Amino acid sequence: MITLETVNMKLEYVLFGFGILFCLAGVGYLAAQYVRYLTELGQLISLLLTVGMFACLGKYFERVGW
Amino acid sequence: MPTRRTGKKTTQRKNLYLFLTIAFFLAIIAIFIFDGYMGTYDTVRMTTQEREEVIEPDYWSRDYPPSIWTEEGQDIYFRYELDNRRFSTYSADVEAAVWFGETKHSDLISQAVAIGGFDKEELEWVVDTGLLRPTDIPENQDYEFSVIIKRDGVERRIIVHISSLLPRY
Repeated sequence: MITLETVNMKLEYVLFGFGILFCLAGVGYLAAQYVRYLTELGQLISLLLTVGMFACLGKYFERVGW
Repeated sequence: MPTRRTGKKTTQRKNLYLFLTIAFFLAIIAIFIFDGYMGTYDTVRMTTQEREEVIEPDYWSRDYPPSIWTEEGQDIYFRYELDNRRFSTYSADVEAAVWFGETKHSDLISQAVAIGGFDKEELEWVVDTGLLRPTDIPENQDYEFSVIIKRDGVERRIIVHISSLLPRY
């Protein structure tokens, strides 16, 4: 049965989703603008750290049960 | 059946991945700040006819070169600042010259610099625009030339536009 409470909860999740997407887009845009000031070594290390960061984040969500 | 000990271990492992994620993120931010700040940066200040134009270090990454204009006969005072944001000494030969297209016209400065870590050095020279008009350009026409600064494999080109003082028609 769909109640007003469940609708509100789903709406909240949608808004959270939008918020996270906007945050990621903003950080991505800033990083893309700023990355050209880095040396090639700095860019390479940043790339490797980004891969590692998303790998760990994925593993964390897997462990949490998502 | 999960015991209290295995449950604790799983939680620790889960938190380990979260801590690693945060640590990697902070490391990326640190690299962006540190690597973005470190390096050798050059700023050019040009003064002519009571106007000063500044070319900041980030301008050089643009696709088109910076430019300045003045009237014929006016001097242009150049100040070239090298900022060494590194721990080691930066040594290079700095050369500046006037170029018409691909032809070098005259040298402006040629100097060896050795700048200590986190120190700055400034070079100065003057371009007298009254002496540069090519013979094949009529005196009532504007013309342009480039001031090219070279150091350690880095080339900076500044376009200088000279306005003729004579009426065009």
